[in-house]
Amino acid sequence: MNLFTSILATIVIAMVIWFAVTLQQADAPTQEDKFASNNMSYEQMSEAGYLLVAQRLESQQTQVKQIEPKPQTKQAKPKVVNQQPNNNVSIVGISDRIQLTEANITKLWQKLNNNNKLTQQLTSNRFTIYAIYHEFNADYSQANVVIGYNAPAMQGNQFNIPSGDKTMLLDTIPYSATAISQAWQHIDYSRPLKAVIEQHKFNNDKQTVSISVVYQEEK
Amino acid sequence: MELLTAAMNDLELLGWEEYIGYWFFFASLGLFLLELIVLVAKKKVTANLLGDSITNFITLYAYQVLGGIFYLLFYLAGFYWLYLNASITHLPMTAWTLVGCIIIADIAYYWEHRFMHSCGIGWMTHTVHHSSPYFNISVAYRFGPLDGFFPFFFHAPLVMLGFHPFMVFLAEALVQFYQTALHTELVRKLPRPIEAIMNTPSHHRVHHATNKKYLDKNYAGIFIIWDKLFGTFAEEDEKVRYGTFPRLNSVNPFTVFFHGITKLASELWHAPTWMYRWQLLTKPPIWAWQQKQQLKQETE
Repeated sequence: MNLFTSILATIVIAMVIWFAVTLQQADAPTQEDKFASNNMSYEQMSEAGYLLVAQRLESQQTQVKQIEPKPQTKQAKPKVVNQQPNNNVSIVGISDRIQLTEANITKLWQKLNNNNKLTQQLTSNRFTIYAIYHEFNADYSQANVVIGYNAPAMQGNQFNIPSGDKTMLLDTIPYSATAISQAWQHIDYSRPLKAVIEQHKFNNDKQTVSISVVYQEEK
Repeated sequence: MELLTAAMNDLELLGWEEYIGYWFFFASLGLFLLELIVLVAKKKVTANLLGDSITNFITLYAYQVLGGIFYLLFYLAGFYWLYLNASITHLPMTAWTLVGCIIIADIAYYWEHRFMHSCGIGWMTHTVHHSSPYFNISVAYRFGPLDGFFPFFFHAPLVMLGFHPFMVFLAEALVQFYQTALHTELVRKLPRPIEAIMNTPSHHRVHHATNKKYLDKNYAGIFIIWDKLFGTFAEEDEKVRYGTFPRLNSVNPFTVFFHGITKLASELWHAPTWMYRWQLLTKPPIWAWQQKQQLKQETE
């Protein structure tokens, strides 16, 4: 094939493939899809993108491994999770010191959901919400609770997730209030407790949840 | 099917490129170590080979330090401007679109690569990659200073077709990663159906050869079918001799990295006419060599 025919053939092949792509049953990209990284530096973009993919792969692996909610028993050896990704995560949201009753916690979640200033800043309909319980009082009836989005593009007050000896209480599962309640019962209150972290991931109308506990590191 | 049409955002596309790129580099280093172990076992490791390999990684570093930020801004600004102002549509951002994007990016790579070999201005930078007399994974990282510049013009049409800039980056990167893995002598020939459709280490050894019958052959990235279709394919059926003419015979990173540019600059400086200069930039590299031989014969 001579050069001219080769170039012509290339154009035809490219147009055929392009046409095949346009035939798919998928919506045109939204502004959020196209420019989710708006206002981020390239470094922030690549870090956030890398974490997004790493978390996705991690959660897929977990879902493959686990079909049913499987809270760990006291006898089971605590699973130490890699602290690196979470320690790099900053969250943006609301914070309050509350009595740990169901009504108070629900009220705080509603406060987050009704906070238009925050929800308007969401760059996509796929996001993760962290609920972190820390600075407990002596009988664990009161704590500082931070609920917020893990979204590097969002502006606002940031809260860094406490680091320490981290143990998984509940691997990622589809949202289940019962499983969450059971997981909380597996906290080892005999150890100095730094924080409890609930991670709620939203993908369109799907919600998954995982819970881990951060204990003070033993010297 | 749902997976193929699920929407992705730009962060996810960039994330895949970062994630695959990060881990691929370590996998490449592992493969390179394996190559070295095999060479040690065969008693083929020489000081020159080690020097050449270290130089290869130094050129990668030099390429990233000298050109990294410039290329990044150039591509980001250029691709985004085209996407917002000169694209015929904005295609869905799905895995299905990514598959299409990879195939078109692979043809774009074929033409970009062929261009690099077919004119003096392309060869001045790409000659760095070919100047190693060895063929191993480290050679894949032997970069010339302007290697990142020309691909822009061959991939810009993809953005104009409506592929998101980050999807084009990801597709380009995947083609490059695939290409990188081909730089090895550990794999002789793969099963026939694979050799028929895909680019393989065997096909790419031919591309790096100085054997006369192999010159200017096998430009492919992922699919060798483009070479077969466009008449630039050659099968590996005789022992390959690697490198370039004339031989570089140096492992000095500075010499290796800049030799293409300095050679072309010198030829342009000493050119007798402006037409000659134009031809030095646009004609295949062998043209300049032929002119020199002709001049030599005339003076004798």
